[in-house]
Amino acid sequence: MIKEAENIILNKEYFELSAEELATVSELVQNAEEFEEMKWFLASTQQALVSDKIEASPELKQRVMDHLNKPKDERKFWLNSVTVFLFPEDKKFYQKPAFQMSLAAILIIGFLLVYDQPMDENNMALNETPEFVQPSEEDATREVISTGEEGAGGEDLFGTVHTGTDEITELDEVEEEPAMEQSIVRNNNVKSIIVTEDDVADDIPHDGYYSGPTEELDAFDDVTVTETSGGSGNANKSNNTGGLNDQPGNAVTISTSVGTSDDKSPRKDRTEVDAEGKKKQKTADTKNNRFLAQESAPVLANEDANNVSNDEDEMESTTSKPDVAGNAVMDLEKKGEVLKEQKEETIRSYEIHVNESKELKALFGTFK
Amino acid sequence: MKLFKKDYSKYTDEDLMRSYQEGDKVAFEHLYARYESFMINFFYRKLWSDRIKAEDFTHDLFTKIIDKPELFDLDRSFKTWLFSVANNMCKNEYKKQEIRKNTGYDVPEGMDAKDEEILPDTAVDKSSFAEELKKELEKMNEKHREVFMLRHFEGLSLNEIAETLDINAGTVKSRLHHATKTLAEKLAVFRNTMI
Repeated sequence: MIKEAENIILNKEYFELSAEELATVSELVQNAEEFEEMKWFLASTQQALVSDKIEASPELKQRVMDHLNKPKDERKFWLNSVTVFLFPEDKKFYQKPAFQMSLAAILIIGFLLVYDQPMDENNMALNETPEFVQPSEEDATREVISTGEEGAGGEDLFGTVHTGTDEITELDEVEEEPAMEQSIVRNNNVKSIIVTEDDVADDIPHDGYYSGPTEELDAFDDVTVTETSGGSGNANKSNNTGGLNDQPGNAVTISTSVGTSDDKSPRKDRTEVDAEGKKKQKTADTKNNRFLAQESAPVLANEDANNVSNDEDEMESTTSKPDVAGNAVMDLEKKGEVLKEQKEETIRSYEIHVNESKELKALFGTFK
Repeated sequence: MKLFKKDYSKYTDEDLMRSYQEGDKVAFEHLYARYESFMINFFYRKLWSDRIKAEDFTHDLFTKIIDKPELFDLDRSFKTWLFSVANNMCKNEYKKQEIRKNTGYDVPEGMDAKDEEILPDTAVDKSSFAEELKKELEKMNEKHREVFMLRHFEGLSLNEIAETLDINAGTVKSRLHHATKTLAEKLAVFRNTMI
């Protein structure tokens, strides 16, 4: 137990202290004089405190006892105040906040229930202003149509469109076209017709105008067919195909240059281009269906690009595969039709790519 | 029936509190009677000698006990628990006043004691030892002041002070000695005039 030095100092004289008490008080006082001073101070302090005391008023006790005798329910004053606020006695029922608040709640809930209908996709707005980024005149002439005879698992398709720094991968195209291509390959060494538009995409003007005419693509008379026969190399697509064209095996490439160099038509306005694009898209859809039907037919299996004789100077290289070359002669009209359809399909798919890239950019911009 | 009447005066504080927790309101009345004067003086001294504030705080303290008697741990000393609750209420009030003081509004009287040195010739002229004691206490560090006040004003023992303030008893002793010695030295000038 801690001995309290103050009690010793107050109750005893210095000469009365025992050795133990002296040790205790030595923390406060060192000698008799200090002992007396401390004694005087402590006594004075107690006197001052006695004179400074106050008495509690009777009202204080009454208030505390009132609180003590209150029922517990009444002690929850804040709940009482809430009740008084919600149900004031001096107002009519429609003026009471509880009624008004419940009415507002019902209205809000009812509004949400009525107007919170499931989303109707048919009524959703469509972005019908695709930006046509079309190749220039020079680029249009370099459009390449390649027919490749690929080995098993030939997936040398364009799945990637390079437009400047953006790279958009069209998964649907990648999934659909290999199956199509493989079916053709299985049908007796038929060259799949692949339209690459990488060159077109690389040089796309980004001003929103389509400088290269699409109608010229239909002019098959101006098309120059180039046959390229790769002996043992990869598919001979000289253009960038996003790294998908490294399948081994022989390949025959027909490069077709579309003669658009004489096109002098002025740049078209975006609305005009949009209208044309829609029209072409419809045409391409119908043609595409026919093309797919033809592809699955064994007719194309007898096609051989080597039989297409071209004396044009633009022909870069010719590679003929002897076993394929002797199979059938491709009807030029038929082939031209197929090529046209293929081109339109390519344009359509490219437009889809561009639209999707725009939407993605807009979406990213929104997120940022 | 008088034979069965409880003699609350023989009950300890803890027994009375236990009875009140069981619903005996008379037990609380006895508790209140025991500590009303203690607490109002405690608040009066701690809250700048403001009588109205002291009564309000006393009222709040006891109403808290009325509303939530279960907060008291029956294993503890009721006296030290009561003083610790009261002391915490005062600390909260100090914080509030400090905020008001910083904003410049409603500074309570006596809150900012003048930091003047008491010169011997002027100090002896002041007859009131109690006033000077208050002033010196206000100048003192809070931790020393509260120990001194609990010891000398409220009459708590060192162990009770230690339990009330939740500090070591040795720390209480050290602080108390420091406060007592400092005050005794500063107020020594009154000794010659008063004797």
